[in-house]
Amino acid sequence: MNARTAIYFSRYLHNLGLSKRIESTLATDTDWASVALFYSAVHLMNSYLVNKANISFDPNDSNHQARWQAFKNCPELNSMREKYRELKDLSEQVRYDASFVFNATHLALAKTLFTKCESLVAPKVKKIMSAT
Amino acid sequence: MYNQWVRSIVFVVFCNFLPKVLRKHYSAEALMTSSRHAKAASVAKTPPSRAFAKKSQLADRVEIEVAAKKMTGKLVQSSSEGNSTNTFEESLRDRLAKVTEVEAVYVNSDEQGTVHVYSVVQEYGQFYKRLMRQEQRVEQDCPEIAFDFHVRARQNRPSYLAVPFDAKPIFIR
Repeated sequence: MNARTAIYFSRYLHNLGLSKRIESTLATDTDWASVALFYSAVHLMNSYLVNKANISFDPNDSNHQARWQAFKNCPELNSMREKYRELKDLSEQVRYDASFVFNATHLALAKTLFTKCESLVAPKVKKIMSAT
Repeated sequence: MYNQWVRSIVFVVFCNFLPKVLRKHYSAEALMTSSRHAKAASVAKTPPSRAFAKKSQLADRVEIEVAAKKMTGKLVQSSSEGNSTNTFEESLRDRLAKVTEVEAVYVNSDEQGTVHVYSVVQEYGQFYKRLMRQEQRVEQDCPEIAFDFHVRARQNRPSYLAVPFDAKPIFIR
Protein backbone atom coordinates (compact mmCIF):
# COMPACT_ATOMS: atom_id res chain seq x y z
CA MET A 1 0.00 0.00 0.00
CA ASN A 2 1.19 3.49 -0.82
CA ALA A 3 1.95 5.43 2.37
CA ARG A 4 -0.33 8.25 1.26
CA THR A 5 -3.40 6.04 0.86
CA ALA A 6 -4.42 6.34 4.51
CA ILE A 7 -3.90 10.11 4.47
CA TYR A 8 -6.20 10.63 1.51
CA PHE A 9 -8.71 8.12 2.84
CA SER A 10 -8.81 9.99 6.12
CA ARG A 11 -9.45 13.27 4.25
CA TYR A 12 -12.27 11.59 2.30
CA LEU A 13 -13.93 10.64 5.61
CA HIS A 14 -13.34 14.11 7.01
CA ASN A 15 -14.98 15.85 4.03
CA LEU A 16 -17.87 13.40 4.07
CA GLY A 17 -18.44 14.25 7.74
CA LEU A 18 -18.17 17.95 6.92
CA SER A 19 -20.85 17.57 4.26
CA LYS A 20 -23.17 15.97 6.79
CA ARG A 21 -22.46 18.68 9.35
CA ILE A 22 -23.19 21.43 6.83
CA GLU A 23 -26.45 19.80 5.87
CA SER A 24 -27.59 19.31 9.45
CA THR A 25 -26.50 22.64 10.91
CA LEU A 26 -26.50 25.09 7.99
CA ALA A 27 -29.82 24.45 6.31
CA THR A 28 -29.55 27.48 4.02
CA ASP A 29 -26.03 26.62 2.87
CA THR A 30 -26.49 23.08 1.65
CA ASP A 31 -24.90 24.05 -1.67
CA TRP A 32 -21.57 23.75 0.14
CA ALA A 33 -22.53 20.29 1.33
CA SER A 34 -22.33 19.26 -2.33
CA VAL A 35 -18.89 20.89 -2.61
CA ALA A 36 -17.69 18.96 0.45
CA LEU A 37 -19.09 15.79 -1.13
CA PHE A 38 -17.15 16.43 -4.31
CA TYR A 39 -13.88 16.96 -2.40
CA SER A 40 -14.61 13.85 -0.41
CA ALA A 41 -14.84 11.99 -3.73
CA VAL A 42 -11.60 13.65 -4.89
CA HIS A 43 -9.68 12.35 -1.87
CA LEU A 44 -11.27 8.94 -2.14
CA MET A 45 -10.08 8.84 -5.76
CA ASN A 46 -6.64 10.00 -4.68
CA SER A 47 -6.42 7.24 -2.07
CA TYR A 48 -7.10 4.70 -4.80
CA LEU A 49 -5.05 6.19 -7.64
CA VAL A 50 -1.83 6.56 -5.62
CA ASN A 51 -1.72 2.76 -5.50
CA LYS A 52 -1.92 2.30 -9.23
CA ALA A 53 1.43 1.36 -10.71
CA ASN A 54 0.55 2.43 -14.25
CA ILE A 55 -0.51 5.93 -13.21
CA SER A 56 1.63 8.88 -12.31
CA PHE A 57 0.05 12.09 -11.15
CA ASP A 58 0.45 14.42 -8.23
CA PRO A 59 -2.63 14.04 -6.00
CA ASN A 60 -1.74 17.28 -4.23
CA ASP A 61 -2.02 19.19 -7.48
CA SER A 62 -5.13 21.34 -7.62
CA ASN A 63 -5.35 20.70 -11.36
CA HIS A 64 -8.27 18.33 -11.79
CA GLN A 65 -7.28 17.53 -15.34
CA ALA A 66 -4.34 15.35 -14.32
CA ARG A 67 -6.59 13.38 -11.98
CA TRP A 68 -9.14 13.05 -14.74
CA GLN A 69 -6.50 11.70 -17.12
CA ALA A 70 -5.38 9.22 -14.44
CA PHE A 71 -9.00 8.28 -13.98
CA LYS A 72 -9.31 7.48 -17.68
CA ASN A 73 -6.50 4.96 -17.37
CA CYS A 74 -8.53 2.92 -14.88
CA PRO A 75 -11.08 0.89 -16.84
CA GLU A 76 -12.36 -0.65 -13.61
CA LEU A 77 -13.71 2.83 -12.73
CA ASN A 78 -15.47 3.40 -16.06
CA SER A 79 -18.91 2.88 -14.57
CA MET A 80 -18.52 5.87 -12.23
CA ARG A 81 -16.89 8.37 -14.57
CA GLU A 82 -20.13 10.10 -15.51
CA LYS A 83 -21.17 10.33 -11.88
CA TYR A 84 -17.87 11.81 -10.79
CA ARG A 85 -17.92 14.27 -13.67
CA GLU A 86 -21.47 15.41 -12.91
CA LEU A 87 -20.59 15.87 -9.24
CA LYS A 88 -17.56 17.92 -10.29
CA ASP A 89 -19.66 20.10 -12.61
CA LEU A 90 -22.27 20.69 -9.93
CA SER A 91 -19.59 21.58 -7.37
CA GLU A 92 -17.93 23.96 -9.84
CA GLN A 93 -21.16 25.72 -10.62
CA VAL A 94 -21.90 26.17 -6.91
CA ARG A 95 -18.50 27.77 -6.40
CA TYR A 96 -18.14 29.90 -9.52
CA ASP A 97 -21.61 30.73 -10.87
CA ALA A 98 -22.91 33.38 -8.47
CA SER A 99 -26.48 33.31 -9.82
CA PHE A 100 -26.84 29.53 -9.87
CA VAL A 101 -29.85 28.49 -7.78
CA PHE A 102 -29.06 25.39 -5.75
CA ASN A 103 -32.10 23.48 -4.55
CA ALA A 104 -33.06 20.28 -2.76
CA THR A 105 -33.04 18.36 -6.05
CA HIS A 106 -29.39 19.31 -6.59
CA LEU A 107 -28.48 18.18 -3.09
CA ALA A 108 -30.25 14.86 -3.63
CA LEU A 109 -28.46 14.51 -6.95
CA ALA A 110 -25.08 15.25 -5.37
CA LYS A 111 -25.69 12.62 -2.69
CA THR A 112 -26.73 10.02 -5.25
CA LEU A 113 -23.71 10.72 -7.44
CA PHE A 114 -21.36 10.60 -4.47
CA THR A 115 -22.85 7.36 -3.16
CA LYS A 116 -22.40 5.69 -6.56
CA CYS A 117 -18.74 6.78 -6.70
CA GLU A 118 -18.16 5.76 -3.11
CA SER A 119 -19.76 2.34 -3.48
CA LEU A 120 -17.34 1.48 -6.26
CA VAL A 121 -14.07 2.92 -4.94
CA ALA A 122 -14.25 2.73 -1.14
CA PRO A 123 -14.34 -1.10 -1.01
CA LYS A 124 -11.29 -1.24 -3.29
CA VAL A 125 -9.35 1.15 -1.06
CA LYS A 126 -10.41 -0.67 2.11
CA LYS A 127 -9.21 -3.91 0.53
CA ILE A 128 -5.85 -2.32 -0.27
CA MET A 129 -5.56 -0.96 3.27
CA SER A 130 -6.52 -4.22 4.94
CA ALA A 131 -4.06 -6.19 2.82
CA THR A 132 -1.09 -4.36 4.29
CA MET B 1 -65.60 66.68 -78.58
CA TYR B 2 -62.58 67.93 -76.67
CA ASN B 3 -63.71 66.10 -73.53
CA GLN B 4 -64.18 62.90 -75.45
CA TRP B 5 -60.69 63.24 -76.89
CA VAL B 6 -59.21 63.74 -73.38
CA ARG B 7 -61.13 60.75 -72.02
CA SER B 8 -59.81 58.58 -74.85
CA ILE B 9 -56.24 59.58 -74.08
CA VAL B 10 -56.72 58.93 -70.37
CA PHE B 11 -58.27 55.56 -71.16
CA VAL B 12 -55.37 54.57 -73.45
CA VAL B 13 -52.82 55.70 -70.92
CA PHE B 14 -54.65 53.88 -68.15
CA CYS B 15 -54.87 50.65 -70.14
CA ASN B 16 -51.25 50.75 -71.24
CA PHE B 17 -49.45 51.85 -68.13
CA LEU B 18 -51.47 50.61 -65.18
CA PRO B 19 -50.91 46.91 -65.85
CA LYS B 20 -47.18 47.60 -66.22
CA VAL B 21 -47.08 49.54 -62.96
CA LEU B 22 -49.07 46.89 -61.15
CA ARG B 23 -46.96 44.11 -62.59
CA LYS B 24 -43.80 45.92 -61.60
CA HIS B 25 -45.08 46.58 -58.08
CA TYR B 26 -46.27 43.03 -57.45
CA SER B 27 -43.29 41.37 -59.03
CA ALA B 28 -40.99 43.49 -56.81
CA GLU B 29 -42.97 42.53 -53.75
CA ALA B 30 -42.97 38.90 -54.80
CA LEU B 31 -39.24 39.09 -55.34
CA MET B 32 -38.75 40.62 -51.91
CA THR B 33 -40.99 38.04 -50.32
CA SER B 34 -39.24 35.18 -52.01
CA SER B 35 -35.91 36.73 -51.10
CA ARG B 36 -36.95 36.92 -47.46
CA HIS B 37 -38.13 33.33 -47.58
CA ALA B 38 -34.93 32.25 -49.24
CA LYS B 39 -32.88 34.05 -46.60
CA ALA B 40 -34.90 32.52 -43.77
CA ALA B 41 -34.65 29.11 -45.36
CA SER B 42 -30.92 29.45 -45.78
CA VAL B 43 -30.53 30.49 -42.12
CA ALA B 44 -32.65 27.56 -41.00
CA LYS B 45 -30.61 25.22 -43.13
CA THR B 46 -27.34 26.69 -41.97
CA PRO B 47 -25.52 23.99 -40.07
CA PRO B 48 -24.25 24.94 -36.60
CA SER B 49 -20.75 25.12 -37.96
CA ARG B 50 -21.66 28.06 -40.17
CA ALA B 51 -23.88 29.92 -37.73
CA PHE B 52 -21.11 32.04 -36.22
CA ALA B 53 -19.17 33.26 -39.16
CA LYS B 54 -19.34 36.91 -38.09
CA LYS B 55 -16.21 39.00 -38.24
CA SER B 56 -16.00 39.51 -34.48
CA GLN B 57 -16.44 35.82 -33.86
CA LEU B 58 -13.82 34.98 -36.41
CA ALA B 59 -11.49 37.28 -34.52
CA ASP B 60 -12.35 35.48 -31.32
CA ARG B 61 -11.72 32.16 -33.01
CA VAL B 62 -8.34 33.32 -34.16
CA GLU B 63 -7.54 34.39 -30.60
CA ILE B 64 -8.41 30.94 -29.27
CA GLU B 65 -6.58 29.16 -32.05
CA VAL B 66 -3.54 31.29 -31.39
CA ALA B 67 -3.70 30.29 -27.73
CA ALA B 68 -3.88 26.66 -28.79
CA LYS B 69 -1.02 27.24 -31.24
CA LYS B 70 1.11 28.63 -28.43
CA MET B 71 0.68 25.34 -26.63
CA THR B 72 0.96 22.93 -29.54
CA GLY B 73 3.31 24.85 -31.82
CA LYS B 74 0.94 24.40 -34.76
CA LEU B 75 -2.52 25.33 -35.83
CA VAL B 76 -5.06 22.85 -34.62
CA GLN B 77 -7.02 20.98 -37.20
CA SER B 78 -9.25 17.95 -37.20
CA SER B 79 -7.46 14.72 -37.93
CA SER B 80 -10.28 12.20 -38.18
CA GLU B 81 -12.46 13.77 -40.85
CA GLY B 82 -9.71 14.10 -43.40
CA ASN B 83 -10.83 17.69 -43.91
CA SER B 84 -7.94 20.07 -43.51
CA THR B 85 -10.25 23.03 -42.87
CA ASN B 86 -11.77 21.51 -39.71
CA THR B 87 -10.76 23.28 -36.53
CA PHE B 88 -11.36 22.16 -32.99
CA GLU B 89 -14.26 24.60 -32.97
CA GLU B 90 -15.92 22.83 -35.86
CA SER B 91 -15.39 19.54 -34.11
CA LEU B 92 -17.02 20.94 -30.97
CA ARG B 93 -19.95 22.26 -33.00
CA ASP B 94 -20.46 19.08 -34.96
CA ARG B 95 -20.07 16.73 -32.01
CA LEU B 96 -21.69 18.53 -29.10
CA ALA B 97 -24.67 19.71 -31.16
CA LYS B 98 -25.68 16.05 -31.33
CA VAL B 99 -26.58 16.15 -27.66
CA THR B 100 -30.03 17.69 -27.74
CA GLU B 101 -29.84 18.96 -24.15
CA VAL B 102 -26.80 21.09 -24.97
CA GLU B 103 -28.20 24.49 -25.87
CA ALA B 104 -24.92 26.35 -26.27
CA VAL B 105 -21.20 25.77 -26.14
CA TYR B 106 -18.60 28.32 -25.07
CA VAL B 107 -14.82 28.07 -24.83
CA ASN B 108 -11.95 29.89 -23.22
CA SER B 109 -8.34 28.97 -22.66
CA ASP B 110 -5.99 29.29 -19.71
CA GLU B 111 -2.31 30.16 -19.44
CA GLN B 112 -1.33 26.49 -19.82
CA GLY B 113 -3.10 26.42 -23.18
CA THR B 114 -5.88 24.13 -21.95
CA VAL B 115 -9.10 24.79 -23.83
CA HIS B 116 -12.03 24.86 -21.42
CA VAL B 117 -15.31 23.87 -23.04
CA TYR B 118 -18.59 24.82 -21.38
CA SER B 119 -21.70 22.95 -22.52
CA VAL B 120 -24.72 24.91 -21.40
CA VAL B 121 -27.89 22.96 -20.58
CA GLN B 122 -31.15 24.07 -19.05
CA GLU B 123 -30.64 21.87 -15.99
CA TYR B 124 -28.63 18.84 -14.87
CA GLY B 125 -30.06 15.59 -16.12
CA GLN B 126 -29.69 12.27 -17.90
CA PHE B 127 -27.36 13.29 -20.72
CA TYR B 128 -23.87 12.76 -19.34
CA LYS B 129 -23.23 9.44 -21.03
CA ARG B 130 -24.14 10.85 -24.46
CA LEU B 131 -22.29 14.10 -23.84
CA MET B 132 -19.11 12.42 -22.67
CA ARG B 133 -19.14 10.14 -25.71
CA GLN B 134 -19.18 13.21 -27.96
CA GLU B 135 -16.50 14.93 -25.87
CA GLN B 136 -14.32 11.88 -26.31
CA ARG B 137 -14.76 12.18 -30.08
CA VAL B 138 -13.72 15.81 -29.95
CA GLU B 139 -10.56 14.76 -28.13
CA GLN B 140 -9.95 12.13 -30.81
CA ASP B 141 -10.49 14.73 -33.54
CA CYS B 142 -7.94 17.08 -31.99
CA PRO B 143 -5.38 15.05 -30.03
CA GLU B 144 -3.00 18.01 -29.97
CA ILE B 145 -5.28 19.98 -27.68
CA ALA B 146 -5.75 19.56 -23.95
CA PHE B 147 -9.47 19.98 -23.33
CA ASP B 148 -11.19 20.44 -20.03
CA PHE B 149 -14.93 19.91 -20.38
CA HIS B 150 -17.55 21.45 -18.12
CA VAL B 151 -21.33 21.56 -17.94
CA ARG B 152 -23.25 24.60 -16.78
CA ALA B 153 -26.98 24.74 -16.06
CA ARG B 154 -28.47 28.01 -17.27
CA GLN B 155 -31.74 27.71 -15.32
CA ASN B 156 -33.78 29.97 -17.63
CA ARG B 157 -31.04 32.58 -17.80
CA PRO B 158 -29.37 33.59 -21.07
CA SER B 159 -26.67 31.01 -21.63
CA TYR B 160 -23.79 33.52 -21.49
CA LEU B 161 -24.63 34.24 -17.84
CA ALA B 162 -23.85 30.64 -16.87
CA VAL B 163 -20.28 30.64 -18.23
CA PRO B 164 -17.15 32.69 -17.48
CA PHE B 165 -17.24 36.25 -18.81
CA ASP B 166 -14.33 35.71 -21.18
CA ALA B 167 -15.77 32.54 -22.74
CA LYS B 168 -16.52 32.80 -26.47
CA PRO B 169 -19.58 31.23 -28.08
CA ILE B 170 -19.05 28.26 -30.34
CA PHE B 171 -22.71 27.71 -31.01
CA ILE B 172 -26.05 28.70 -29.54
CA ARG B 173 -29.24 26.94 -30.59
